Amino acid sequence: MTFSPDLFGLKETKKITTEIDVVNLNKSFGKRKVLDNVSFQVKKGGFLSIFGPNGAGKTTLIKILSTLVAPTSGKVLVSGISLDDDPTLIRKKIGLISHSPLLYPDLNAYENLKFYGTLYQVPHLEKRINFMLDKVELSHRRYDLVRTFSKGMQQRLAIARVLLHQPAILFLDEPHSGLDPHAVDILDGLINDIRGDHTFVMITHSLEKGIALADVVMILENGKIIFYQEKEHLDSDKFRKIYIQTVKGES
Amino acid sequence: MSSLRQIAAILKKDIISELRTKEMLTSMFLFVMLTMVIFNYAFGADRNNLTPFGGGMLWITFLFTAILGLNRSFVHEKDEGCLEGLLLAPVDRPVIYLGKMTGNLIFLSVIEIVTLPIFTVFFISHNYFPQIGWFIIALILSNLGISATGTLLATISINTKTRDMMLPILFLPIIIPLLIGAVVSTGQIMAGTKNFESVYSSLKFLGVYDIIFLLISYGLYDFVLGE
Amino acid sequence: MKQRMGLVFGIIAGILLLAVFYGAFMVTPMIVTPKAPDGVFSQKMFYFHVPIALTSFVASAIGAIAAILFLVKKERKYDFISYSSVQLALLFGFLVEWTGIIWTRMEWGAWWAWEPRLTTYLIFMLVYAGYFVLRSSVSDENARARYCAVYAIIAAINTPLSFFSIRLIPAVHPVVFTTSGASMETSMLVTFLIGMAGMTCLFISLLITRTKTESLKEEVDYLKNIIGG
Repeated sequence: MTFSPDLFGLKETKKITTEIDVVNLNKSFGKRKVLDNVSFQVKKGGFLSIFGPNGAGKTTLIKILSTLVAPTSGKVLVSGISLDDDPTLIRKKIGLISHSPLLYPDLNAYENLKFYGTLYQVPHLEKRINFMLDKVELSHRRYDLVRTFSKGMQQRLAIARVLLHQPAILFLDEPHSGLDPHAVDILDGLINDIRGDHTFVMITHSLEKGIALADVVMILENGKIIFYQEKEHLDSDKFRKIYIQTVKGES
Repeated sequence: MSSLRQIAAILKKDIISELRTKEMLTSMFLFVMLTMVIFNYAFGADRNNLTPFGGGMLWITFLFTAILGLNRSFVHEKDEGCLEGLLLAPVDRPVIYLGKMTGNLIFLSVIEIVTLPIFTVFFISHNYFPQIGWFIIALILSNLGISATGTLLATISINTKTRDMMLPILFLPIIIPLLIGAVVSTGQIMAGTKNFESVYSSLKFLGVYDIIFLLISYGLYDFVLGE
Repeated sequence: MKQRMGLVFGIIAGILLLAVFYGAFMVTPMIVTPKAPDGVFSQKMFYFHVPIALTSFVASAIGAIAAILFLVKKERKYDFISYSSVQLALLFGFLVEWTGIIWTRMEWGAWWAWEPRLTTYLIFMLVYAGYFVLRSSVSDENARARYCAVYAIIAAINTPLSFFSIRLIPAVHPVVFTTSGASMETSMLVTFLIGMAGMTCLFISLLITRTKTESLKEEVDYLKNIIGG
């Protein structure tokens, strides 16, 4: 059973408000299909939570959206820009929070942010770095090497790194896994702060968090969308049943 | 202009990290010193006898120490996933290549500048200082080729299962032509050749090798980094 | 159809190579040099050695061209062609080396004399040996194909460079298989050309078969995974 987003009439409003538009996306590694004819949209300011068992193609999907992996076929528009046209322009508008903080251990917090800020050509970089360090409560450790940071502090700095260039679209790949409660609070706080004018796509295994934050939930299995629903109309019992089935099928 | 700033940022980051830990430079330096000591026992300590082989000994040492450095320069990028961070940034792929390559070039050159006088005192009986200009040109051209090819192949190696073990297997056969040019040019100068013809033709060859591999690596780096 | 093409080329190659044997040993005259008035029998190797050598270059070039096509078009078949061609480059490289070594043994009495062309081929083989180590140590299929394509391109460019670089070394050894001193007689030229055509057909036949095998292998792996998972 496949769900097409068209059923929910999202396409009519697409012109004005669609931030991410994926049409008939396929990705195969050799003969193996990792993503099989995936189509969906995310509205500007929307929050899509993607669930699914391991190997369902969630991470590949995020990697395609964030220009790290090229699709085999299909159309992908991020912020109205096609993936083939100008990936560099897309990269300016997106941020990715994943399990690894992507920080250099032998640079201090400030140098790490300064490095990424220069790559992104962030205007008023110094001010912006100070602001972000305040936000993640690391100002007092700004000249300490990242090597000396705890995992939670590294994750907080990673959040600062991702938000430094004010991306309009945020991809979160299991952002809560491996975070200490303090970092979870800061992350959730930041997400709530910037909701509305930012668009989110999150992969998660946590049903509570995923549903709480989302406007739209989606389940991927074997590269296909097997469930897609807006939260307002979400039939949570049915959703849970399908989710548990897919995860069980994994083992 | 902005690309230049991005290249500089990547370079600066690598240099700051290295100056802080000195991991790479220390091991490269010690490797060179140890190799020279081993040469002494392998070939005997008579400088007059060793001078004709100076070029070969020099580049065995430098080439293998370069491999140490090349591997090291991608370990952090890979281990902390930072390479992905670079790929996510709005940076043209060649910028990443040029940034990493320049860093490797600088680290190798620093080691060479420090160890070359020691090498000369240890093994070379001829005073080649009058030809030092040509010698430096040969050194620069060789380093450029090593860094150009090495950076590309190190990026491939670090993404394989065997990681740093892969680099010598891929890198050494590809670098042999450059190695021959380097050995002939520097070796002839160090031995005080009267016939500069072979030095000139080697330098020309090194230049051609550099141009070809710089262009190829520049063009292919995109495919090595991702899809 | 393609599979049959492989067979057709294979049969043609077989006939032509038999003809070379006949031509080399029964038709062409012995080369006589002042040093060897009875004729240089080992020169017969020329009719095999040189065609194999040229074919190995063709294999290396096709490996690189298919690699470029793969990188541009991202179609899997080009990866298979490139991989198969590189395999053949190594195989033919090995044959060049082997026939060359037999020749140096006969002429100079030494198994190995750092003869420039044979040295070039030694480097050639080492470069392509690296290709297979690389291929076996990347598990992600797309990444493996991309890295191997990049390496196949570099390897092909490296071949002429190493060929020239060896000539930079002062005091090189004499070069094998000069035809100077003995002008090519018609029968020699014809035999050589038949050898060339035979080796080319053999290469094409093997390339088609290898490429087919590679894509079948992938198919089998895929089907196995479906059954297993």
